[in-house]
Amino acid sequence: MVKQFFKERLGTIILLVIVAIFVTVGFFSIKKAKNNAITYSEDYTAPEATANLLDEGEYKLVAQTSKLELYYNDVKGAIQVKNLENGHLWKGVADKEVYDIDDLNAQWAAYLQSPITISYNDLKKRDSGVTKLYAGRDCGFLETEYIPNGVAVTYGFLRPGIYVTLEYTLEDDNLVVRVPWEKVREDFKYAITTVEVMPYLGACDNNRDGYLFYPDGSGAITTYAKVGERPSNVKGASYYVYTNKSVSFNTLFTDAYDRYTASLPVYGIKDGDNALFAFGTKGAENSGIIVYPSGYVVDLNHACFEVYLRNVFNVNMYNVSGSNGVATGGNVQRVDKNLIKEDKEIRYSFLCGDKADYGGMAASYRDYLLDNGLIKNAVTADTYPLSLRLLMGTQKDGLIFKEYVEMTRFSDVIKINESLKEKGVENIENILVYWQKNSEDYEYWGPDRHLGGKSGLKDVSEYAEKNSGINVFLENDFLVASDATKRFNEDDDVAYDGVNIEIAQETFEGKTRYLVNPLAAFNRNKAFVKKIKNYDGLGIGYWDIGRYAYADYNELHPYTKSETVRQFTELLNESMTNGKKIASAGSNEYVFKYTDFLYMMKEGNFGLSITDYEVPFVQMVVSGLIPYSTEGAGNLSYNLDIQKLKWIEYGASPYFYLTYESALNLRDTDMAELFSSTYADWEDTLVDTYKEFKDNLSCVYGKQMTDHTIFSEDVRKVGYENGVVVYVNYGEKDASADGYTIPARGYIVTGGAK
Amino acid sequence: MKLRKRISILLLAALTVMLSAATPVSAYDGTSYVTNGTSERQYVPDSYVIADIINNIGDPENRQNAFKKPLDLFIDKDDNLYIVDSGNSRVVKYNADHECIAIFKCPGKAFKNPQGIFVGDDGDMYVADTDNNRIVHLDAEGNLIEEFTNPESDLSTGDVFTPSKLVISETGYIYVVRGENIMAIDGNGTFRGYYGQTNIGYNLAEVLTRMFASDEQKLFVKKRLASSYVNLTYGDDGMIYATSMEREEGEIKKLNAIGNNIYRKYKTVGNTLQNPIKAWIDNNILKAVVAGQSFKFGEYFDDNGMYMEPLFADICVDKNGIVTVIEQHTGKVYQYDQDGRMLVAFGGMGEKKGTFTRPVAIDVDSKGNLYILDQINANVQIFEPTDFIKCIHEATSTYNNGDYQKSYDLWRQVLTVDENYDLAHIGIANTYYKQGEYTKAMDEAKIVGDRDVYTLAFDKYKYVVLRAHFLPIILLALAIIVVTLVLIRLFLKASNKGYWEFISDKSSKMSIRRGIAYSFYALFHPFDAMEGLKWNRDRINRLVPFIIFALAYVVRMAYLYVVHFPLASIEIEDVNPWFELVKLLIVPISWIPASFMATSISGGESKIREITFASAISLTPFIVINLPLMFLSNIMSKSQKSWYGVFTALAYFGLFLVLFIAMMVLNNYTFGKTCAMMFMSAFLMLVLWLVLLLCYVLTGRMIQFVISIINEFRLNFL
Repeated sequence: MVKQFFKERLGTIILLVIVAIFVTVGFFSIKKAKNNAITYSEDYTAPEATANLLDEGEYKLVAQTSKLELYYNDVKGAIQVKNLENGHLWKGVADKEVYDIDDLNAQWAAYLQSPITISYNDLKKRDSGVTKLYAGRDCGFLETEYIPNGVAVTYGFLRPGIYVTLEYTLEDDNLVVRVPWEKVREDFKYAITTVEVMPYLGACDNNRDGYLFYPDGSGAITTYAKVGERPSNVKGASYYVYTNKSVSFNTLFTDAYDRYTASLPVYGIKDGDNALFAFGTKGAENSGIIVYPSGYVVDLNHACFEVYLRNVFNVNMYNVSGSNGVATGGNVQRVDKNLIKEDKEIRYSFLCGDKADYGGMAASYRDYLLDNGLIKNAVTADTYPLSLRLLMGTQKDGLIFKEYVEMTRFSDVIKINESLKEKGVENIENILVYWQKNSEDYEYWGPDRHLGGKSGLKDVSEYAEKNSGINVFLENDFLVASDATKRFNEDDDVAYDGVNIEIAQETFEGKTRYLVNPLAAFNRNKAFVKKIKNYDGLGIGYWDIGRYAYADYNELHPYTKSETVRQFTELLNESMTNGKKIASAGSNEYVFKYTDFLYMMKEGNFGLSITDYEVPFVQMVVSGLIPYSTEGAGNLSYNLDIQKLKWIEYGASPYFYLTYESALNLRDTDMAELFSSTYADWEDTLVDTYKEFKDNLSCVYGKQMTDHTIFSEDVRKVGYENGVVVYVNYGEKDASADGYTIPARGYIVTGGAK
Repeated sequence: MKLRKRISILLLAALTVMLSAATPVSAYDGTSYVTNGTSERQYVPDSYVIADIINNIGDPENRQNAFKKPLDLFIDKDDNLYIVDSGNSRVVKYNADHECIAIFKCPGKAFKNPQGIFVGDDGDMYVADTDNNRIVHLDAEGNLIEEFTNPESDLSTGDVFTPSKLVISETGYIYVVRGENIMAIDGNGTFRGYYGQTNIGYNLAEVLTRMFASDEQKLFVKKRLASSYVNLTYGDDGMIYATSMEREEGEIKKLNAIGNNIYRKYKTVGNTLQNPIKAWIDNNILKAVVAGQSFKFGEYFDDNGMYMEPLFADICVDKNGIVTVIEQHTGKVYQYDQDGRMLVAFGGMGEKKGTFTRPVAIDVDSKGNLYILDQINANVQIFEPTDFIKCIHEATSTYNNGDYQKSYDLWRQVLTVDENYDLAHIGIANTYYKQGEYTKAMDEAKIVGDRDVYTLAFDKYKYVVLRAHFLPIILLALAIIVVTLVLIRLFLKASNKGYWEFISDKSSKMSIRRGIAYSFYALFHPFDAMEGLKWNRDRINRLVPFIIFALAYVVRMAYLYVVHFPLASIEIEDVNPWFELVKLLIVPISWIPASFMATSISGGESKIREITFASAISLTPFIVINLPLMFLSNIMSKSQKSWYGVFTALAYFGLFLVLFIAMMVLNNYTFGKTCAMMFMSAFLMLVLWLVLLLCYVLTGRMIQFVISIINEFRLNFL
C-alpha cells in the first residue's frame, strides 16, 4: 500500500524534496548573509558645521628637530614642514602662492586646499558608487590635539557622519603621518573606504625643475619640463602596493598586474634642489599611490598616498538585482563590514642638494630597510654571477595522450654547469623551471621521471653542494593550484573574494585554476621543504610569493592583505631556517629580508603615456645587498648588445633562459614563447658575456648604486658607492658625457678603483 | 593556443552553453609574433620599438595645440609627415625630425571633416574634404589650385560624392575609395571609370530568383554587391594596394593596372554556381571549426581568444613591397612580405605606449619607420624597426630578387636570433632545394610544416632515389605487389568462408570472427550479404557492428599518424580524437534510427539489428581503402593530391552505395522507392541532429540556471 503510494507519486516526492533542499539552503544562506551584513543607524541628523578649512588661519610651529620644523594651521587643519638645512618650506596644501586658485571652480579650489580627501560608500544601496569628499569643502568639523612632537587632527565630514584622525609628528628627522583605525568614527549609513593623505603636499607647477617619481615597474619619472609632449587627455595613474587591488586571475596574471602594482610603497617629488620622498612604513599593504602629472584639470604635478580603511569589491554578477530592482548585468559594488584593523603610517623624508633626486630617495629607503632589519646582505661572490633559467620540460598535444617534451634533464643541468665551469664561468645562479611531475597541475614536488627523477635531482644537489659558486633553485608556484592538483582541497585551500566566490578561472583544457589560501600556500611550502630536506645543495625559487599578496575571505582561514604578507614572510622564514637558499621572482619589499637572489626583476615600467623615463629605483635599493637579474633574457632579446647595456645600467647579472635540447622542440607547446633557447647555440655568448662582466664590471658588483643620471634619450650614467661611474650609450652613434666619449651601443667604466 | 582547444571552446560558445562564470585564460601577452595563417601564435623577438610620439603641434600657447579627431596621415618622399586634423579642419605638416613646420587651412571655404590626404612628389596636397563633397588640390605652400567635385557619369548619377581616402597615380589620375569600387578621376575632373571591383560570382539563389520571381518581387530583392573598400595606398611599383571587407578573396589587395588583384588570395572567386547550403554551412558553422587550418590575413582569434573578422583601417607599403596594415578592432599591426606571407604582428589595444585606442591610419617613411595615427588618443606613434625585422625585410627582398645565396645567409642570421622563425626555415628550405639538397630542404620545410616546399623537394628526391636504386626499387615494388596480392587472396578467401559458414550453419549464432569476415564479404557481394542478413536477422551478432565501427576509428587514427606529411590535412597535435570520432561515425550511426523511422512508416521490413549491421558494413570501404593508402601515401606528395583524392572519394561513394543497397534489399524496395527513402532518411537524419542539438542547448541552459541559483545561495551578498 505504502509502496504503491510512493510509486505513484515518486515524481512529486522528488520535486518536493528538491524544493525543500533549496528552501532550506536558501534560508540558511540568507540568514548567514544577514549576519554578515553591515548594520547602521537610521536616526541621523548632520550637526551644524563649525569649521571652514578654506579660511586663512595661521601656521604655528608645533614641533622641531635638528633638521625640520613642523608648522600647523588650526583653521585649515593643514601642516607645513620647513627643512632647516636650506630653509625650503614644504606646504601640505596648495595655496595661492603655489597655484592661481581663484581661476578654478569651487570643487577644484577646495581639492587643492584639502589636507585629506575621503571616499565612502552608501551601505543602503547594494550597488552604490563611491563618493569622494574634499576636506577643504566638505569638512565641517575640525578638532586639534597637540601631542608630543606634533598634532593629531580630527576631520569630521558631517553629511555622511564620518570622522577621521591624522597624527602629524616629527620623528628621526622625518615627518610621520599616522592614520589610526580605532579613531575612525562612522555615525550614519556611510562606510569610509579610502583617505588620500595630503594630495597636494609639495605640488609643483611646470616651471619648476623636477619630476614626480613613482613605483611603476622598477621605477618611473614624469618630468615637469616635458609637459608639452604629453597627449591632451592626460590621465593620472594609480598603483596598489604589492598587488593589484582587484584580485582575480584576469588582474593578477595579465598586463593589469604590471599596470597597477607597486612592489615598493614609495613615491617622490623633486622640486629644484629639494625633494620629498614618501614611503609607507605601517599598513602599506593596504595603500596605494596616486600620481597626477600636470594637465589633469590643474597644471600642477602632484602625488600622494591613498590609504584603504576598508576593502571595496567590484562584484561581477549578471543576475543580481541592484537597488532599483533591476538586474545590473555588470559590476556591483560592495564594501566590507569591518574596517581593516590596522594603523597606517607614512614617512616623509625631505632631501636637498645632491641627495634631492631618486638616487637620494633610494638611499633613504635602503637606510630605512637596513636600520629596521628588513633587507639582508646576501652578496658573497666578487663578481656578477651568470643567471640561468633552465626550462626542464613541457607537454605537447599528442593524438590521444599528451606527449612529454624533455628539454633539459637533470644530468644536462650538470653538463651545462660543468661545461661553463671549464670555460671559466665560476658563478652561476640556476633556476630550474617545470622540473616537477605534472607541473601543469601546479604540483610542487616529484621530480619528473623523464628528467631523471629523484636520483637525477639528487645528483644535481650533490653537484651544487660541491661547487661553491654554483647555486641551483627549484622554481615553484605555491599560490596557484588546479582541480587536478594532488593534496589540494578545492574548498578549504582556495582563496575567496568578499562575496564568497572562489578566485578561480576555467582554462581552455576544461580545468579550473585556483588562487591558493595563504595558509594552504604556507603548508604546501612546508611540505615541500620537508621533501627536499636531504637535497642540501638545492634552494627554492619562489615564482609568485614575492609578487602577489592579497586578502582572502576563506571562512576557515581568512586573511587581510597584511596578514597574508605576514604569512608569506613566515613561509620564507620556514625555508630559510631549514637551510634553504631562496630566490624570488617577485621583488615586493617583504621578500628582501629572506632572499639570496632576486630574478625576473622589472627593468622598465608599464609604459603609460605620462611616463617619460624608466629608472632603476628598486635596483638602487637592493644593489650591493642582494644579487639580482632582470626579466630581459639575452637569448630572447632582439639585440643582445642593447640587452647587455640594460643589464649594465641596472647593475644586473647577465640572464639567459635556456634549454639543453633544441628550441625547435618547443614548437606547438605551451612554451612557444621561448623561440630561441638551445644551449649549444648560446654557450659561447654566455661565456663571453660572463667574462666581459667579470673583467669590466666586477669593480661595481656588491657595491651600492648611488647615482643614476639620464643624460639624453640614449645616454645614462650610473655611479657606485666606491666612486666607480659607468656610462652607457644605447644610441647608434658615439656620445659624449662629462668629457668622456661613450662608444655607440657601448659603455665605459671610470673612476674609483678601476 | 592549440587548435583543438580552440575548437572545443568555440563549439561551446556557439552553442551558448557556458556552464561556468569563470573567464577563459587570456592569451600570452607577447609583443611580437607571427601566425602563418594558422590559429597559433609563434612568438618572435621585438620587431619594432617606439621611437617617438607626436601628441600635438608643439605650441602650448595655441588653443588648438592638440589634435582633434585626426583621421589620416601621409608621408611624402622627403619623409615630411602630414596629418589630417579633421576636428580642427586643418592639415598639419611635420619635417623628418618631427617638428611642426606648417599648418594648412583651406583658403576660401574651410575644410569640413576632411578624411584623407595624398601628397605628390612636388609637394602638392590633395585633401579629401569629405563633408564639402570635394577633393581639394593645394600647392606645397597651401594655396588653392583647384577642386574636384562629383564627376559626371552615367554610372554614378544620384550618388553623393563624399571622398574619403585617395591616391594619385603617376598618370595623374585620382583614385578614390567609393563603396565596393575605387573611382578613377582624371586631372580634368572627368570620371574615368570604376576600378578594382571584386568578381562576386553567381549565386544559385539569385539565379533562381531571376528565373522565377515577378518584376515586382525582384524590386524587393536586395542587389548583391561586392564588399566595400576601406583604404588604399600607392606603391613604388605603381600598384594600388587596398584593404577591403572582402572575405572571399582576401581583405588585402594589390591591384594591377587593370584593377585585378594579384596579391595572395584565399581563393579565386569565379563564375561558378554556388551552393547556398554549403555557403551557409561554410560561413556559419565551419568558419569557427576550421579556423586556423587555412591562411587568413590578420588572425582568426584576438587576444581574448574570440573569433574575429579583420577590419584593416589602413595600409602602407614600403619601397621593397613590404605591406603593413593596421587592424582597427584589435589595434594589431600586421606585416606581410611581397607574397602575402606574414612577417610579424604586434601592437594591440591598451594604455601603454605602443598600443592604441582607435588606430585609423598608417604610413611608412624611407627608413622603414611606421607612423600610426590614433583617432581617440589623437597622436601619432612612430615605430622604429629593430635589427631583427630589418634583416627579415632584407632577406625577403633579396630572395625575391633571385639572390638565393645572400638570402640564405640573411635567413641564417635571422635564425641566430630566433631559432623558430618560420619564414627563415622556409627561405633556407627553398635555397637547399635550389641547390639540390633535397633531404635538407625537406627537413627544414617539415620543421615549420610547409607542405609546398616539402612537396617540391620530395618529388625531386623521389626521382633521385629512383634513378640511383632503380633495380632494387623495382624488385621491392614487385615483391610488395606479390605479397599484397597474396594477402588480398587470403582476405577474400577468409571473408568468403565467413559468409558461407554463417549462411550454411543455421544452428549457431554469428561469431565475432565470422561476423567480421561477413562484413568484408559484403564489400564485394553487397546484394548477397544484405539478403543473408535479412533472412538470418535473428542470428546476427550485435557486437560485430560496433567492432567494425571501432576498427574504422582505429584505422582513421592510425591513418592520421602514418599518412605522409605533405598529404596530412591536419597536424597530429591539432587532432581532436572526439572530433574525429564524431566526423567518422555521425552518418553511419545517425543513419540507423533515421533509416528505421523512414522505412517503418513506409512498408519497410528492416529492423534495427540489420540496419545497424548494414551501417557498419558501409564503413568497410573506408577501412579497405585507407589501410593501404596510408602506407602508399608515403611515396606520394602534394602534387599527387588529386589522385589521392580519388581514393578518398571512393570511400565515401562506397559508404553511400552500401547504405543504398541495404535500404533496397532489406526492405524489398524498388530502385525508385529506395531513392525516395534515401532522401527521406537523410532528411530525418538532419531533423535528428537538430533535435539533439536543441536538447543539448536546453539541458545546458537548465544546468546553468540551477548552478546560478545555487551560486546565489552561496554568496554572502545582501
